[in-house]
Amino acid sequence: MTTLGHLIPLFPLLGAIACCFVGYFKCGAFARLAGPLCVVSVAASFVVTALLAVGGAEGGATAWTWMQVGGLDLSVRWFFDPLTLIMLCVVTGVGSIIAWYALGYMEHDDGYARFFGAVALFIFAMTTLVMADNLVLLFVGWEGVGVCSYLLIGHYFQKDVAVAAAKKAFVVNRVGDFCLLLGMFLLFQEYGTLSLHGTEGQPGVLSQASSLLAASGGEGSDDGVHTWIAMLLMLGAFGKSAQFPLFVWLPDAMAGPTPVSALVHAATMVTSGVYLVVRMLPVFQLSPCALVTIAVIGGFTALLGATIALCSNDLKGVFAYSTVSQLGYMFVGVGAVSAGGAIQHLYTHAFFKALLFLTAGSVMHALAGKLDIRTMSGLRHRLPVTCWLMFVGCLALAGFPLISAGFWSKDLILADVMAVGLNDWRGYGTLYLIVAWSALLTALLTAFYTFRVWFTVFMGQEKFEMGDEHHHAHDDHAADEPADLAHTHDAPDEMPWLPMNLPLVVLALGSTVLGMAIWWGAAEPFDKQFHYGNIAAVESGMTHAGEDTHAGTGRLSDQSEHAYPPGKKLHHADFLGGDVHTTMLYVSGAIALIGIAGAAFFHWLARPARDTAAKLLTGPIAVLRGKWYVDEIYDAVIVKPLHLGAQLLYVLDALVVEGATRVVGLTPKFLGGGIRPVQTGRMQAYGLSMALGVALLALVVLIATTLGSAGS
Amino acid sequence: MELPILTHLTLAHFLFTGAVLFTLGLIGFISRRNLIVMFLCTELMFQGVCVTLVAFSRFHLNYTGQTFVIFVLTIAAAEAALALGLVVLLFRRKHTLDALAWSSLRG
Amino acid sequence: MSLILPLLVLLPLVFAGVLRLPMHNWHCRKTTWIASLVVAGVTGLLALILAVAFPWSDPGVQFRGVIPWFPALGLSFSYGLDAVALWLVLITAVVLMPVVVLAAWGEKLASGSEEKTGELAAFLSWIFVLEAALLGVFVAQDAILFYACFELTLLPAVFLIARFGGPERVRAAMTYFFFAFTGSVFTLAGLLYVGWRTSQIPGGGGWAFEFDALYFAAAEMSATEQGWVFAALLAGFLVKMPMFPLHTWLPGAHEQAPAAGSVDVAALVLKIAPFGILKLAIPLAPLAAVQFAPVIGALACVGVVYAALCAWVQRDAKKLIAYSSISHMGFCLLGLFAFDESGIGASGAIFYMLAHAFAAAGLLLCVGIVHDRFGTRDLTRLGGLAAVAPGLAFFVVLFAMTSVGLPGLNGFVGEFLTMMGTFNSPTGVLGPAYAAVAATGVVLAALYLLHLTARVVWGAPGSALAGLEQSEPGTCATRGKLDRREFSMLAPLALGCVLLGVFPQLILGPIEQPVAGYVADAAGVANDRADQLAKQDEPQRRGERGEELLSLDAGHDSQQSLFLRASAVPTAPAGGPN
Repeated sequence: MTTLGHLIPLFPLLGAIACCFVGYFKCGAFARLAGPLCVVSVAASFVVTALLAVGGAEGGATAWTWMQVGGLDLSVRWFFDPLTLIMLCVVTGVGSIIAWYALGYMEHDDGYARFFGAVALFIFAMTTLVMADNLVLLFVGWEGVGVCSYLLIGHYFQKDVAVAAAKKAFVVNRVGDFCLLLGMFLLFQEYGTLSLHGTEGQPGVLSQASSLLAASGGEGSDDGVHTWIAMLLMLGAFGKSAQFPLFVWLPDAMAGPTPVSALVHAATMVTSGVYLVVRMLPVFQLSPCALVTIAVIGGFTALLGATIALCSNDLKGVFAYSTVSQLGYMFVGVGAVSAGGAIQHLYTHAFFKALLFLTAGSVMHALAGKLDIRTMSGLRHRLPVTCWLMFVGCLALAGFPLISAGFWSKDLILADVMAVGLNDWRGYGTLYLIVAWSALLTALLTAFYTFRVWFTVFMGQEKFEMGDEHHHAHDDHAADEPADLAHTHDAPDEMPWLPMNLPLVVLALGSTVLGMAIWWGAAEPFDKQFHYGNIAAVESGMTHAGEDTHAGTGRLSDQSEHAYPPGKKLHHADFLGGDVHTTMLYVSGAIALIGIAGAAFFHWLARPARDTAAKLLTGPIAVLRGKWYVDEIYDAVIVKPLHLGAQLLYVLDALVVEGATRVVGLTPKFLGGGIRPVQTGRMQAYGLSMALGVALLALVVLIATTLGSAGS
Repeated sequence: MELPILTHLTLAHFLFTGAVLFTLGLIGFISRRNLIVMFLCTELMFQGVCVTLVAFSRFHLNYTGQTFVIFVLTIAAAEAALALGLVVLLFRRKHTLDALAWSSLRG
Repeated sequence: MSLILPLLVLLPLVFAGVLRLPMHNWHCRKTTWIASLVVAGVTGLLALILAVAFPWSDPGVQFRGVIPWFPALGLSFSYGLDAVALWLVLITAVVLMPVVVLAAWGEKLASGSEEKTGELAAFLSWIFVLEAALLGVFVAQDAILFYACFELTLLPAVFLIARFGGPERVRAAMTYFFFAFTGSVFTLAGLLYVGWRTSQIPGGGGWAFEFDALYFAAAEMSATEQGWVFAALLAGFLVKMPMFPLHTWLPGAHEQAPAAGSVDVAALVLKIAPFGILKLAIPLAPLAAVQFAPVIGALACVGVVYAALCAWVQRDAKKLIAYSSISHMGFCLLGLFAFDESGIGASGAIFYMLAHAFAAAGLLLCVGIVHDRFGTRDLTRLGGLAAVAPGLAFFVVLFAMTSVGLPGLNGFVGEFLTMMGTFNSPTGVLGPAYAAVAATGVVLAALYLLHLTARVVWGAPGSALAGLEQSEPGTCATRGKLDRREFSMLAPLALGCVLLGVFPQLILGPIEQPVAGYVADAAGVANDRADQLAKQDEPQRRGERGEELLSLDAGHDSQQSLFLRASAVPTAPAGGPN
């Protein structure tokens, strides 16, 4: 069964090679094959994934030995478990839908084959990442998606902005990778292996960590090395998943084509950090403070991203910062030992954020590259399908109660972190509570900024400006359609159903409660193993709550300790007069409705009021528009000094180091200068010195023999 | 049978003659700048050495020294031909026989 | 079979001589070039035959042969090769030589003026001399033969730069010569000392220079002797490598050398230094190697960061690559001196140096082609290659990514293993701090290589390209197209980058045991010392248990005793001249 898994990365890889091959023939219809090839290869790997998922595949499959030196034994080995299968479904499923959409979006692009080649390669790397059984192979996928992201962000390579953004993304990711590498080294030193699940007779990292955790009674280890490992891995995850302080690359990454933003920078690649932490959860649980750090930084990033999204006027920019913010939520989830919440949100987020990006792409496509929402208004008549598709996406992002998928997944995270805070797990209750409340605040902001965009763009008086991007569609379509009907420069029009709008419908369905229903139906094994399993491992570390309930004075007033079986205790507590999960449904639902209503008021019904409010708040808005000036600060504190330092070093290299070696070289020259006059160039002088030399030698010999004979 | 005159001449006489010849040659080599004269002076030094060698040969009553002298003379002849040729060449280059004109090896 | 080895070395040498014969054929560029290609191919074929016949599972030296030379001094042409050397031979003879000969055709050998007839023959003949010398270094089993070949690599490299290089070529060549020559004089002294030392062993014969004899003598040397020998040997190797701060010859040499010539220097000549360190410096002076390892490691770390930063601010693409080589060689040094228990670092270092040959050669050749087509290597004047020359752009990006250390390509494997080894190095040698500093090189490598690709491949067409386009529209696209020759020289390198990244075990498997053998003594010393350091701490921590631990350590293995003896008499000039 699991051997079938070899095909999953293989198909996209072959697809990428084929795209490369057809792209080599630049001219003619041959290159047009690249798109379908890419879609088919990704879809094929989705089919294999589905087969495995239906069969409930579990276990490893080794392809070949990759490196084996000394105690280090790394194989190209895949491992399948519910987590991997969920990730694979998201990656290949959403991947094929987005690639399908891109067939239309990229149709007239010069780099058609290059784009699809990179997308197929990306899917290859991403599947490698989630299927890898050892951290180094995971790192192959990790960096592989990084380089594909680099290529795809820089797709429009003639634009300096895109090139700079691509470079920035790669370098910032590398900072995270630097930490991840060190984390791996430390892990190897500590556990003697880098395999996650191990093979027979050799336990992997995870099982070793789990038994250490069990030995510590769920309290974690007081050995500092475990904290070091967790912190280093965490920073690696933060780099890829765009968390503070390494989030700065993601908004810039929107310089790439929109399907890329949807696939790479919303649905899949950026979630790999979350995947890593969930995958390595036992290692993180071993450290007493790692998870709370993750939760705090996740919560902070969520708030930071939401505040910036609040004032951004760039259609894709809003969604980019919202991605940063939603990833923050996922980290809050993992930080609260809620693997279920994090992965569930990852799953729904993949659908609705991809939907939002692609609909934004449709708007952008229709408006010939215009992205400033201040220039847009009332487009619902021009782009009806896009309008309502985006509406579905916005509902999910805002967490509209009951019918949207985002509501359920976000709610789970909120409730879990609140419960962990209330239970005062490992004594970090206050921090978790702060995170929980700030996450609620973020939920309000999220609902507001999401619908701010939607109401601004689609409601109200119709208004638009066409961008100056070359409308590729024009020339080709003019041939087969009457020019006055479609694709003229002066008015936006709806995307065709095939290949663009139909894939979006699939995504839209996934963003509603339907997507959630599939999860509830299928994710049972995952929940059992990763959600409850991981909680159960640390529950005994929940000393405070345990004592409290035992004494009968705890917050779980009407429920005894036995009411919750192992694996459920940590995430249940009394909150506002009911179980936290129940009350949180009401609270977060209400918050979402308030946010949406606020957005409707300010950005649809009473737009003059918005302008008045904006005048009152110019200062804060300027700061938020400046994105808290994080980029500027990094530039001034890190980039500029480093560059200056590099230039100084180079000057030093040219002057001092080379000068020093030159001085060493000059020494013999000066020494030689001392006896140079001896060489007069006159034969007589040479003759004389020779004669004198011989005479001297003779004298020495004479004296020596005289003395010698006298001595004997 | 010994020639009577040799009974009065000891080895020292011959060595002295050789030394005088050699020294004359050396002084000439050092003090003169004319290339041909310098060359002749080196020949003079050769002859001084040859006289010494022959004298020792006679003194030791073997032929080693004399054989050696034959070699030296042969080589000196060859060398004279070569060296004079070189001198002529040098003269053609600078139209002077002054040795100071050829001091490009100065450090 | 053992005659193939001398044949392998002599064939290029003889052909180099033939190329210099005053034959009419060599006036024709094409004849010269094709003949050279054939000879390079035949040499490669010989190397392949070796590889096929090689017993890969045997870690020892194979195909040994001895031709006496000067028995009184213990000199002989003694040759043979193990898996490490074989891989070096393979990469040199099978991959890089044909590539370099292919590249030589496109070389503008006389800048400005009309090229003289026979210039290509002269160029290629130096290239073949270089190949012969390199192969000689790899197969030598005698220290003096090794040294002779080591020195012989210098001459062709110097002449390649001084005769066929850029405007500042003579100065660059002189600098290179003085650096390398000064260093290697000390290497010779070190080798001679150990050779003499063999004659001092009780019951031994006279002087001997066979490696095995030297290893034997090394075990008898005191720590002080080893220190001097080690320093002397390293002087030559570190200059060639080059290690910070002895690196200043490299950027200049690269800047001035013709493309094919700098490929030789970067991809091949640099490799003999780590090879020499592995084969001579470490096994001949294990105590000193452990002693000096922290210093060398620190310098290597500084070099990694320093050279990376310098590379970042270069304007000349070739100088950027030169600095990147310096930075990369720092990793190699770290791995060699990690002395971790299972030899991960050293194996990684050897893999790294093999892998570096591909990426560096590829990048240099690409930059050479760019220079050839668009007349400049100035990063501020280039740009937009992806639009006009997609093929070339593909290769530049691929090689840059290999150099960055992208997993899945071969640069990563070496980088990862060397850092892993450094991290796991025993206490008192290297350690996590070194690995952390070196790992910043990973970030910086991304910085400068992406700077390179951003300035060459991406962006709007640079002023050099725009100028060409302005004078005659469409020139850039025609010029940017890779011809079959260029494709066939870049493709094998690219293939090597990918293949060795995916199947590094091809190299790692066979070299693991020989490499571990070379560093075994030093690793043993390092580990024993780490144990001792741990024990020094332990009695304080555990009180009375300390005594028990110390008594346990009396009956230790021979490595331990060697270390104890040597460290007990650190200043005694044992076996001195009297």
